[in-house]
Amino acid sequence: MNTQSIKNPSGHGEWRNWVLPYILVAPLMIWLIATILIPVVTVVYESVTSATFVGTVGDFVGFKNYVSVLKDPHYWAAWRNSIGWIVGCTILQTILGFSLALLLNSSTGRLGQFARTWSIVAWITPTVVVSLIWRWIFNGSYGIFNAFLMTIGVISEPLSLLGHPNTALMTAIFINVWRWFAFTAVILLAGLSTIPKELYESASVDGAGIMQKFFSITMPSLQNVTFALVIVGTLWCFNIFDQIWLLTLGGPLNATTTVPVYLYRGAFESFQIGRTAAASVITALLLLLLAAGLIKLTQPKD
Amino acid sequence: MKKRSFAIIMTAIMLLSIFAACGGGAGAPPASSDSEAAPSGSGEAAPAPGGDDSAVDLVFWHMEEPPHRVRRFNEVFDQFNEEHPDINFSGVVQSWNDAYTLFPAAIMAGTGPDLMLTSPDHATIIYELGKNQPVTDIINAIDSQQSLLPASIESYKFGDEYYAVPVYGMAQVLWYRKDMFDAAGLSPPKTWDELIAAAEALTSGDVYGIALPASRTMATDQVIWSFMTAGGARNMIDSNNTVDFNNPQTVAAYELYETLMKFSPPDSTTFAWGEPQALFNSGKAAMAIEKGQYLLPWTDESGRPPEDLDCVLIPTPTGSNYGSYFLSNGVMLLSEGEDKKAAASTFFQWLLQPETYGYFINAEPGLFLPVTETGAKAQSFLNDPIISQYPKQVETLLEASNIGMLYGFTDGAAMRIGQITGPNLKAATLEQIVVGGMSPSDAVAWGQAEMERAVAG
Amino acid sequence: MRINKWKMIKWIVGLIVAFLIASPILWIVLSSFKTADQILIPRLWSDSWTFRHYRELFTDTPYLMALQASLKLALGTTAAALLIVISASYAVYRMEFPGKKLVQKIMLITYVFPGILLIVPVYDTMSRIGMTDRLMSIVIMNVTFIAPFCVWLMRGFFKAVPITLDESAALDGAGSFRILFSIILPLLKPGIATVAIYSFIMSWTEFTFSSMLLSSEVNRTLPITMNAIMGQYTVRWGQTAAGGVLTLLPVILLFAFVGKYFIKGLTEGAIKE
Repeated sequence: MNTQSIKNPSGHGEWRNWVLPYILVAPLMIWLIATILIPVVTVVYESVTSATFVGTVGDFVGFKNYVSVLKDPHYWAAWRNSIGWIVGCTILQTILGFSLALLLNSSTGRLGQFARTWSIVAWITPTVVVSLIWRWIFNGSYGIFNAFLMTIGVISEPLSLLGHPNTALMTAIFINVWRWFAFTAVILLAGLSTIPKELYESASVDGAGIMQKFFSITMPSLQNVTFALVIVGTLWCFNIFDQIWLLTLGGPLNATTTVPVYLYRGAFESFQIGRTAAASVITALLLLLLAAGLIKLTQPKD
Repeated sequence: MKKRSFAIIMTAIMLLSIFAACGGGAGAPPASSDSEAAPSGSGEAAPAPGGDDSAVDLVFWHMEEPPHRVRRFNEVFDQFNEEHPDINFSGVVQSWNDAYTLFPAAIMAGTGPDLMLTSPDHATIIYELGKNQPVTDIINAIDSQQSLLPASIESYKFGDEYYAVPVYGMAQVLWYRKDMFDAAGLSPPKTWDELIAAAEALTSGDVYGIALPASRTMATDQVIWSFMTAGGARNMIDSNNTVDFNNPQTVAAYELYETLMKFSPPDSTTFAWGEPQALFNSGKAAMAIEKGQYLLPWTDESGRPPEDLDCVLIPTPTGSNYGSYFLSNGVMLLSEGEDKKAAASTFFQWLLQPETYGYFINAEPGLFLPVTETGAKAQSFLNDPIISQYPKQVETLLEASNIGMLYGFTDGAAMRIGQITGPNLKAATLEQIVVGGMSPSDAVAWGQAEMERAVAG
Repeated sequence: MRINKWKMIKWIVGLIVAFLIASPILWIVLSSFKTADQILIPRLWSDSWTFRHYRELFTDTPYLMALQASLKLALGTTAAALLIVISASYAVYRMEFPGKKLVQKIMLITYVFPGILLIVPVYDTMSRIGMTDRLMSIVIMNVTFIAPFCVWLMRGFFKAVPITLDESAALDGAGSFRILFSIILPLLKPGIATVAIYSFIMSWTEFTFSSMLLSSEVNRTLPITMNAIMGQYTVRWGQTAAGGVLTLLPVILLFAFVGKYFIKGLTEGAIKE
């Protein structure tokens, strides 16, 4: 840590200075404990009971639920979808986000300013509206996407992008990335604008090309930002539920049933609160492992 | 200069935020009587504003979210309150999405309502919580005056008692575009073969013979059930929760569905309720199987006269022995106490009398069908500007509600039906055929196994 | 030559990205003005246009009430998030204290547990303390999901304020509170603005918890009302499209005024002023 503690040389603030940081972080900590930790404890408790639907109290069943979840092929299928979802979202988001960030970084003037502000408009659109728009656009009969492709003769029959198991997940990924990539771009832009111009200039003097500059200067300088984006971004992405649910309900034939959708189905459609609680505990542990792994992998070497 | 304007905006945001935090947080509840009424629920909470202390409060949760339904309901409730100063009836809109998730939690936490809209399978789940009160006396009182449709109450009979008062029914029919049928020289289908032939004849280019949902949703579940009942597969599960899904009649119904999918758009696997209706109204589909909600937007969205929207009973294999999906929505009483029950009884007897009933169910004309004999003939029902434009179609809908039935309640109430309808297992079976490529007989066998597992818990 | 090639690529990519971002929104805006018999024809233009869907939205639906609820919620969330985030990030980025690492870990953990499963226990807890159907309950949940990221956002802004400033102020005998309020806060303005706008927008778009916890009409936010307009059994396309546009419009308007500062805050925060 490069910050230093503040010593009060006059001496009579010692006690206050010692307790002050705790006072300052207390609201956030209490807040998080009340809204996350207490519910989590409830979930852990429910995971060893036979509770069926919300509001019921089950009997103690030990680790039966855990065994049942670990043996459930649907649970692991949901993980497979989730990993596809995370990888797809991350890759597409990074490509589009980087492209947009580099574009914005090199755009100046009124147009550049305008583009910087309004490129993020998809991100300020509520998920309900995002789903409405895209379901409408991709609809085979009254959506403009298929109508356009058919007019120019690329396809002869409408594509069922959200309705076919091979394309549904990819389409959902695309729609999610549509909403998020500009936000990613702006965060990357923050990193980009910290890179001193002189670095590029001296590299140009040395005869470095655009690609070379990108890999030898841009990428390493963004370590800190990409680190946060990868960790937080991955976890965020994993836990996205409403976007998928509003688009496909996890279908067709479970093609877009990611782990959060699986959990929702288990708790609220199959009414197996106890078993689903066990599944969420397992999921949280696996996520923790995943996060630790990612931290190890991407942590910037200071 | 720039910094200055920034500072001003910032200060404004901060001030507004803090203002809103006070206004939106602690200060919010007094703004409405609704928010006051919702958390109080049962128990002797503070009386709702405007009522006197001795009045009985009845809080009613319903899930009819579209704003025009809410408005009509509230009009009716206001009128009731005006005529009954001793009762304070207040409606609170909820969402069906929460009905299976949060309602049980609310009821167990004691923050539930006095009265709650329900469907038969939802009622079985709430029943397990042990909080709902029998309403057999209320049913009997209404039945003697208005004569209730048997199917509307049978699905709320658990054991010897009735547990919900039916308020409206919904039935499915086969909707067809008369203009398209006339142009092709076809007459409306009565048998399955005729249905397939019509669907095939009307499919060309970007126009499809029929639009059927094939997503894993309740919408799909309902259409499958219409075909199943029409085909004679009527006892999917009995009162002992024994599943009888894997039978030749069910397989035949799924075979029909599979055949019809050839004449339904390729993205049917994403369809729920909205899409088939949109295709039908825009002339991209000639038929659809749905409830009476097709009446209201027809002329606006299609630009065609009312005559061009027509319907018949769901075709059957032989053209006789009709069946249909029929659901009766009822209201459960969740609060104990004689005063609440008496007030509820007053309310339901008032609501279902012919003078008020029609206006109430015409909150969604055609979709909400009367569950009383007197209601079906009531001027308040028939004089509605929409209903009166479609006399023949409404007659067919009423006929469908007379012959209709609901899965899980055909042979006594199967109390575990919620375990099958929750995950939409009938629709999941169809998904195995349409998306997964299974044969109908294999898929139905798969469905039987899934249902047995779900029922066993 | 070379520069021209890159410039060309830049323009092409720029146009594609601009089209990608703008066209879906343009589509819903155009659709919302189409008459009911035209709205489902898959083409950009329409033979006839109407304001009817908007008129109906104002007369037949509780749009204005929902707008009010959304505004209250967003402003409440913003205020609460600001207070909590600024104080916590000051401690985390400006002070040394035992347990600091733990604080940072707890913040990360909030991302690990699937939010969807918190719904039931959260609902349980909220109803036990009588907080269901209060906008305050959503304020509480929003802050939970917003705060950790915002604390991270503030890092760059704190870094931009030289630590020597604190030290020299401390040498002059100023207490920590005075250092925070009179020296650091004014320099953090861009960061505060960024956090404020971020909170506002996250709260504006929140769906899952609002749909679960809010029930009465006065408390239902725009996304929830919007979803209700779509309704069960039937979809009113015109009203739905108009509702979508009017759900988006208020944040667009807000962004027209403060968007510049938001992006500036996010991108230039790390640079010393």
